[in-house]
Amino acid sequence: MIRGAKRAPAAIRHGLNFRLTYKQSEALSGILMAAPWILGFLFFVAGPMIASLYLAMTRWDLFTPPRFLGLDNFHALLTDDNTFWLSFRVTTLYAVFSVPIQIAVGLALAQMLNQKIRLLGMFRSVYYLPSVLSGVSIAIMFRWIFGTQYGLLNGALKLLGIDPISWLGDPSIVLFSFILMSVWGSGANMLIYLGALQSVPTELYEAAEVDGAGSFRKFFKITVPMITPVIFFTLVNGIILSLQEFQTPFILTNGGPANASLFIVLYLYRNAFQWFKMGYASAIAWIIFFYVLVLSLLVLRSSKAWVYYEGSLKGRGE
Amino acid sequence: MTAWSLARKANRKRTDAIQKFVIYLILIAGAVIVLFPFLWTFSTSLKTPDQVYQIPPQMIPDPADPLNYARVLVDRPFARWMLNSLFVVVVSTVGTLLSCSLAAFAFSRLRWPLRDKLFLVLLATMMLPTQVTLIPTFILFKELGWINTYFPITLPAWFARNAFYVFLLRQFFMTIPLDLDDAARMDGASHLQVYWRIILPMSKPALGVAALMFAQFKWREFLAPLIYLNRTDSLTAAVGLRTFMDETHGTDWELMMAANIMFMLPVVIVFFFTQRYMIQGVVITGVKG
Amino acid sequence: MHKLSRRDFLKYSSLSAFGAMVATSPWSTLAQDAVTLRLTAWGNPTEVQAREATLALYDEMQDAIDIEFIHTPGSEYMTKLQTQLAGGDYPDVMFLGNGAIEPFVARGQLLALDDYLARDNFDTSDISQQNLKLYNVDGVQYGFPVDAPNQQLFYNKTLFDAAGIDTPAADWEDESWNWDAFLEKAIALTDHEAGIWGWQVKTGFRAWWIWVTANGGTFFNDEGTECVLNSPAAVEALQFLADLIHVHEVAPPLDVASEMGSGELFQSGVTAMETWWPAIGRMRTNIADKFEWNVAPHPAGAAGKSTSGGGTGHTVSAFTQQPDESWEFLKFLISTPCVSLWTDIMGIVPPLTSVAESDVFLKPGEPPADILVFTKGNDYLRPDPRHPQFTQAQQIAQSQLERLWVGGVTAQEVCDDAVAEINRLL
Repeated sequence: MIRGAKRAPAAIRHGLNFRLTYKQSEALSGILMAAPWILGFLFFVAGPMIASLYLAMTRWDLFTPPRFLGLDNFHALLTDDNTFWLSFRVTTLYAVFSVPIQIAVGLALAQMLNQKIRLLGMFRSVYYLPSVLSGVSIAIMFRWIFGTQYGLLNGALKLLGIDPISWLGDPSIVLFSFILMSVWGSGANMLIYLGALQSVPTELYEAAEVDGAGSFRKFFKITVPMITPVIFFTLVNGIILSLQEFQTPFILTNGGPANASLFIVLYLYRNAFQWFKMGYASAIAWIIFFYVLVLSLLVLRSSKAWVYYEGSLKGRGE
Repeated sequence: MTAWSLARKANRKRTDAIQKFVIYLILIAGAVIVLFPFLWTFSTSLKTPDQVYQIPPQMIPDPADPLNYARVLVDRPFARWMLNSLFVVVVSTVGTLLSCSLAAFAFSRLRWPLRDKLFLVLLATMMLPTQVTLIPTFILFKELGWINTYFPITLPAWFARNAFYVFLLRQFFMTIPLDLDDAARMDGASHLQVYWRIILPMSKPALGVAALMFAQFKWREFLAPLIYLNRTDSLTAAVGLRTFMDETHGTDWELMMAANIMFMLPVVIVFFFTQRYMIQGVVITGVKG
Repeated sequence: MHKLSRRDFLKYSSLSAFGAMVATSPWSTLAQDAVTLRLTAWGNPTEVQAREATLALYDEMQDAIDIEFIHTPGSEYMTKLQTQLAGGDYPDVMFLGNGAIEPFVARGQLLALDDYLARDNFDTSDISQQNLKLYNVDGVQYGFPVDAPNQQLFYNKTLFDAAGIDTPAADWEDESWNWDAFLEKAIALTDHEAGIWGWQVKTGFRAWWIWVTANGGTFFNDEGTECVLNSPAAVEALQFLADLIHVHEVAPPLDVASEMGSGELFQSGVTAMETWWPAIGRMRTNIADKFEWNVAPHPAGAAGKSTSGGGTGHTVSAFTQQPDESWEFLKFLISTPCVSLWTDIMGIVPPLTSVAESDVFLKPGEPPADILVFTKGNDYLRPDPRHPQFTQAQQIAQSQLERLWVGGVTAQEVCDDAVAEINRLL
């Protein structure tokens, strides 16, 4: 058998014997294990995405047949739509501040809640609580928190002798309020980091303690580097989510006052479902897509410099 | 020498104590800030309509009206909606955990053609706002005859539709040393066995995090169930909750908030009882780097 | 009063529970060959009660048609409906805001009812003509109104009495109730110490549209080719409103108004006067016995008195497979028994004169005392402008005007900016 196989061409040999080299069997396993996702992608995701890309190049009012326009929508958006650029700026500013803050707060919470303290379970639950609420409930809650006259936040400031601030009514403050609100969602990041902290080998800390390292040094020299893969995840994911923020501004301010909280997806939504401009809306979506893609690729590229993979395949002949 | 090390130890103990105290202070202050709006929600859920519109607002409603809860459950089929949500969450969470962890394993620990390019594609599927794929997807599911069934909101989960969790698990898997796989392979284990016997057990915290986050996402999911479910009886709680809100005729805040409390209670309870197992369970098994 | 409403609630919920039992029992489908119509609508719990009660009534009245009610949350109703329609999954009868009528007709989504009206010789004279017209495009009727919700001025009578001033005139023809008189009262009512405001400037289109039209202003020119919101009449009206906030300080700044969703200040007793659409039933429950309240027309401007409004209606999809049955159902929805039941539960202004004159609407002894202001105001209704680009143009105007309400700019400036932006769109 083996002798015969040696004489036969390689392809037939494998086809007949199903005896694969290690590399081939690894490749086959990889494809098979990724198959559910590949199938799901081809079946549920790819079609609608291609359809929306086509629609981005048309004028479509949802009901009458789309009319092909080529790149006109993109051209109009990029050169002739001030509102689009305004929403682009609002959304970018929001992302630039909210993503790092969420990561920092999440990390701090995880670190504090990853030690032996009393009522640990209760504290963890309390800090995770905001993530449990539906988007609309959060928006409603913040209407109370940010209210000028009877809001909780201004009530607290009053105790400190600070004059009431118009959190949602002042165009120059409203975006700041949204960033403040995003801190609220740090519980999800906290949970991810807590999970990641469990796989940091305790030996590393013990070794560091022998060397006399304090908690801060341990945190920055061991904890943070060891969970960089997960921090990387929350960074990419944070960018994706924050640039697609929709629910809260939709309910809370509807983009106001004076478009100061007009997030880009809210503008997209108006075009798509209020103004019968689905083609134009699709073009906005694809601009967001490329914007997020470019940012993610930049992060991905930079990750080689700062993300440490214990289980990396790199340097193993790749 | 001993005296010096003792002094150092005492010093360490003191800074530890101070540190603990500061941590408690921060945690408690933060908890108060986080909890206050929830107390407010609870307070509103016990108000009568005219108390809701009272200025200055009452923190403790007098008289309290616990009947709001009964009205949410009797007047609207809120209990039924919660059961529907439970069904959707359980079915799709199992599917997501299986399909996403398989894909994450393939993307993080195996070498195969096009792997890195496909991973970029996977990331890219999260980057297009769903509003513009809504109608094409709707048409797809309509052709399949899936409108007004739970298929559109459960079945794709078995095909790793939520790429987020593939990405999350991949990142977690990448923190586990590869030597473990090699050792197991040396003993003759297949890739599937490595996945099932080594990586999954070692990733319990990650799987727990993913399960909890996905279950919670599914519990709150709004757009897909809104579009695909028509019969009032078959709605999920997240959609049902929104039916209490109405911009034209005004929202019954007291009912909305009572529903809200009931909506989040199951998730909070599940979290409270699983977080310990999920997060600390693994320290015992440990990771031998 | 509170007790009574709870008993009503129990009555209707048991009624609807019975209806649901009958509808879901296997016999009901075996017994007859009923056609099922799909009705899509939004609504809060009270409206769902009204919906279920009227459907139960319809079920009692006939056996040929079953109704499947698709209930969608209001804020996302259009997202779902438009997805369904674009995807070819057509409901039969659709609950639609009157603003959606023209764009839907322009895109061939609504069934013209004229043939049916002629065939059945259907008498529409009992329907408020102003509101009926909202569902008519180029002389073709596409639906019937559910309500006649004209916006009026609500006032807190207790605050008026406390300040010792006369309440606004309920008579639409009384021209002495003008902007000067209004300002005078607003100033007298405002008490910053006590946190009481004479007025609240609402940011919604229909709230300021009243003032613009009362002063003789419009939104588009007659040909619809240009936005003319920067005309002197419109600018003067908007400046008058902005001055109420910034100069006279009789209205709270914008952010206070957005605190709990605008409109909730009046129910809390913080504003003495406010523009409201007639959610009379809700108002009775939410205000309860905190204070006395009543309604009046808005004050007369240079062009007299005015009111805005719109409301919702029932329409039939152009793609329904059961147009005849849908028409039958539509006739029921505008029938006196159905409208009476709806009015009774919802506490809205009915679109039928017969019901508007009955005690179901008037509810003697309950506020507001001058409830007739609503029905008499139908003749003064200035509906939203009709234009293919109106929704987007209105959004632009809205965002620009928010700058005016926030302060630091003049009405002329924001109107010029809004007009420039809107004209680029046209």
